[in-house]
Amino acid sequence: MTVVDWSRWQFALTAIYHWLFVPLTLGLSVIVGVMETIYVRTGSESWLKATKFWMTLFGINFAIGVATGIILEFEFGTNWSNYSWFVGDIFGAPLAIEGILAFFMESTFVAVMFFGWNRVSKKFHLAATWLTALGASISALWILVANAWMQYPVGMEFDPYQMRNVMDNFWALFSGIAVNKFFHAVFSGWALAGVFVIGVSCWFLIKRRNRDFALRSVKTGAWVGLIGMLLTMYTGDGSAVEVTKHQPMKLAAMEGLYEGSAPQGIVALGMVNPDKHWNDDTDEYVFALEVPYGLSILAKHDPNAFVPGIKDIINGIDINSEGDTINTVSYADRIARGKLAHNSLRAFDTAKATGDTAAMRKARSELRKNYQYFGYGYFNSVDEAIPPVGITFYSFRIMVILGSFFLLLLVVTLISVYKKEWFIHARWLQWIALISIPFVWICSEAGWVVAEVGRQPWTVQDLLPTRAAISAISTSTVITTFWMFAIIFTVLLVAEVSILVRQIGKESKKNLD
Amino acid sequence: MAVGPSPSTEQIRNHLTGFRGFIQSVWNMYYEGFRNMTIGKTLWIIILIKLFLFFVIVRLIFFPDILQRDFENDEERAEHVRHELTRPR
Repeated sequence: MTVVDWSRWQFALTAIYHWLFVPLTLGLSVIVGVMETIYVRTGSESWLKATKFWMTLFGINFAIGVATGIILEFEFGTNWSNYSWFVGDIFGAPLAIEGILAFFMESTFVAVMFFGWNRVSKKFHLAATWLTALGASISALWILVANAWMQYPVGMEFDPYQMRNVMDNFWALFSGIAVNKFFHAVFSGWALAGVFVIGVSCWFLIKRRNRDFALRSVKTGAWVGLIGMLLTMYTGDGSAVEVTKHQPMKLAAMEGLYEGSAPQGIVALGMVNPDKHWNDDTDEYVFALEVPYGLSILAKHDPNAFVPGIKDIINGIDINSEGDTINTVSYADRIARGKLAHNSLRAFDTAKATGDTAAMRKARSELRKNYQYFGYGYFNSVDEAIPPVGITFYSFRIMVILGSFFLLLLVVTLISVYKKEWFIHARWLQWIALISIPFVWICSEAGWVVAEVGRQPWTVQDLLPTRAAISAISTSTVITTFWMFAIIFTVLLVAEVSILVRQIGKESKKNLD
Repeated sequence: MAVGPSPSTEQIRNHLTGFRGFIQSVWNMYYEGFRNMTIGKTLWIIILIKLFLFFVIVRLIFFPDILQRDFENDEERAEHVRHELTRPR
C-alpha cells in the first residue's frame, strides 16, 4: 500500500471511531431533554429518575468521545497538507466556528446539566439540557457544512497567487447537499439513540428490574427514534436527489450500474461482478433482485426517468426528461481540460517569475475556463476516476436494509409498548431490541462509507484527487500512527462499553420506578 | 441628549454584591459538583489522560503541521503547494 492508501485508512479509522460517539451524543441529548421536559411539566419523581439515569449514560459517552474528532484535524495538517492549503479558509472557517461553539456552548451547559441539580431552578436546568442538545447539533452543522463543500465545492474562487480557494460567498456553503447531509446525520443520531434506549430498557425487562422505568424509557426512545428514523429517510431521499445532480458517478457506484436505462430499477439485493470493467460486455451483477422503477424514483422522483450508469457518465451521455439524448462532458474531455488547467497554472507560475503581468492575466483567464475540471488533470486514464464500486454498493445496501429493519422495530415497539402486559411478556421482541444495539451503529457507519468511499477518488469533488492532496511524508510514519490510533481508540471503546455496562448494571439494582 | 440620574453608591454596592454572589454560586456549583462526583472521577481521569495523549504526545511528536513547521511564511507555503500540485505525475 502507498502513503495515500495508509493515510486514507488512517483517516477512515479515526472518522469511524469518532462517529461511534457522535450520533449517541446527538440523539441521547434529545431523549434526555424530552424526559426532563416531562419531569418539569408533571413534577413526577419517576421521570426525574429516568432523566438522571440516561443523563449519566450521555455523560459517559460525551466524556469518552470528547476530542476524538480533533485527531482528524491533526491529520489534515500532517498527512493532507496540500489539501489543507488548497481548501484555504473555506474549510477553516466552519471548523473554527465549530470549535468555538462546541467549546463555549457545550462545556458551559453540560456543566449545568450535571452539577446544576438543586442549584439552579428546574426551568433553567431544563434550558441547559436543551441548549446542550442544540449545541451538539450546531457543532455537527459546521463539520457537515465543511464535508458537504468537499462533495460539492461552491462559493469560492481559486487564486493562483495564493494557490488556494478563496471564499466569495459564505451562504453558498449551505447548499442542498449540506442541508440534507446535516439533517440526515442529526436525525440518524436520534434514530440510533432511540434504538439504544429501547435495547437497554429491554434488558431491564428481561432481567425483570424496574419495569415501569423501562416502559417509560421505551416509550420515549421509540417516539424519538421513530421520528428520527422517518426524518432520516426523508432527508436520505433528498440526499439521493442531490447526489444525482452533483455526484452522478457516486450514485452509479451505489447501484453498481454501468449502463443506465429509462425507467431504471433498483437492486434490492444482489452481488456485483467484481471483475466487471466499465467498458466490457460482462454482466454487472452475479445476481440481482430488482425493484422496477426504483432508482428512477429515488434519483429523480420520476418513475420513467433515465439514470446514467458509469459507462454513460464516462462517455458523457445522458437523457433528459423529454427523452432526448444530451451530451455532457465526457471523462476523456474532462481529463484533457484538467491538463489544460494545469498547463495554465504552470504558465501563470512562469509569468509570475518573470514579472510578465499580461501573461499572468492570460494564464489566469485560461485557468478559470477549465478550473472546474482541474482535478481530472491528475489522471492518465478514465479508469482512475471510478470509485470502488463493490464497497459503495454493499455499504448502501447494509445502510438501507438495516435502516428498514430499524423502522420496523421502532414501529412495532411503539405500538406494542402501549399494550403494557403484552410488551412485558414479549421476550422475543425484547431480545431482538437488545441484540439490535450494535447493528444500529453498523447501519450508521455504513452511511458514512457510502458518502466517503462513493466520492472517491476525490478529496474535493472534481478539483483535487486524494493522490494530489497528500503531503510529502513517509509511509512508515503513517503506518506507525495508524496502529497507534488503532490501539488508543480500541482502548477508549473498551473503556466506554465497560463503564456503560457497569453503570447500567449498578443502576438497575436501584429503585428507578 | 438626555442623561439619566447617575447611580447612587448604594445602588453600585448592591450591583457588585449581586455580581459577587453570582460568581460565588457558579464557583460553588463547579466546586461541589467536582467534589461530589462518583463515576465522574473515572471519566475525568480518562479525559485528562486522553487530552495529554492527543495534545502532547500525538500532536507534538507525530502530527506537526508540516507547512507551518517547514516554511517561514505564506508565500513559501504557496510556492511549495504550487510545486506539489503542478509537478508531473
